[in-house]
Amino acid sequence: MSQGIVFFAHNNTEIDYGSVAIANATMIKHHMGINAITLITDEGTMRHMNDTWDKDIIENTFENIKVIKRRRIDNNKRYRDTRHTVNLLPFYNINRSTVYNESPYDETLVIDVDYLICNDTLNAVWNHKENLLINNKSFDLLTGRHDNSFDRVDDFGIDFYWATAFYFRKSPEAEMFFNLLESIKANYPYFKTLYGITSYNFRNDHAFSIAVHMFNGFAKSGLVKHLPVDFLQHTLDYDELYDITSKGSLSFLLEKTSEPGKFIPARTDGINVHVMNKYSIVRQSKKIVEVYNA
Amino acid sequence: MTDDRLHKALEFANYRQTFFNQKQILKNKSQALLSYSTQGGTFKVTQELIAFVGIFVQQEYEEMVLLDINENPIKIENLKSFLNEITSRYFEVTNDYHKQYSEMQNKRRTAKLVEPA
Repeated sequence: MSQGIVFFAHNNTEIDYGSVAIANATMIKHHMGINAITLITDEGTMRHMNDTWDKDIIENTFENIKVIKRRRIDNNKRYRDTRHTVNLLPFYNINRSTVYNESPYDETLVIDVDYLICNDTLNAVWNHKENLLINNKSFDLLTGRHDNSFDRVDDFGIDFYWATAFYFRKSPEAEMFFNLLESIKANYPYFKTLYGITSYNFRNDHAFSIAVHMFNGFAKSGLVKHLPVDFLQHTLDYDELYDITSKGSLSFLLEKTSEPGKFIPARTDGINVHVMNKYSIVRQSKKIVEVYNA
Repeated sequence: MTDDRLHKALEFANYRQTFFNQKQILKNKSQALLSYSTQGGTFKVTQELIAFVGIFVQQEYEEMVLLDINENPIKIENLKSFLNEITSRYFEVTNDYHKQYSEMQNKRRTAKLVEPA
């Protein structure tokens, strides 16, 4: 049974997802001891990666790199770099459902490049009894700050599931799930309306939430199980990842709930963190690789 | 009340908030690490699980079926070894939590709380 991790990285005009993928893959290799990492990317991102990074680093980081043809899509997302900067940029995220066919592994863990891995807890997924595992809980690193839109897709809607990290084993059940995701994506305006989703852009978390709800028999039956650690942890795009002091140690500035634009410091050791401020990871990506290769 | 007193009070409030947040981060970390996977199932390592399994190990059971976090029945084939594994995981995680929390308690300034070890 082959086991491995799949990343997706598609740059836009400002966010260098390729660099974030290299940094996170370096962290994964160290903390999870996994070398089987496949990157799914596009020509432009690959070209930029080759210009930015040493060829040896790219080759040593990924086991496979699959370059796909990027389609022209109209999907924009608001990217924040703390409260001080906000940009509406293209977000290429429509190929996540193809991972079932694209993954070269029998057992695949799909991780968003911005979910920085600092421990080996996700290794518990391998050889799991379940064919599909995905979480619906994520804690904010700042205690007391809570975003209701991470609980449900809509105030009166279904549970929100995080496509940030999920596991599947190639099986008829998982194949059916990804086929379902494909049809949700193909008919997204319909499903979006049906499930009361008001955001304009296509979001994988929402598509996965719909698919899980349907897979659960249109009920909150919990047939789709969660990952071994049943929650993720995240920082918002209002926050800043400002340093990596050593392997697995991340330093953040978290925006105070009561005083927007002001921060409190926080440090994590050995905790996987979904960092939503992509700009701040890009800024730290070279340092991450340096720290881990030292 | 002088400005200095107010400044000190605000600084202390900042310290308390950072302290509380770091404590929660440590708590969530412990919670994440207190899990043990075997035979395709995952178990939350709790005092109850340790005590429950311990009873049957004392009664010299060699194997038993336990429900994991997804309520799947998992056959534990070597109960004694399972107990050893979960017990050592429990001590490892809680001792680490205790060590880091104790270190934090001795730090009286906000910047010190988030300084690398």
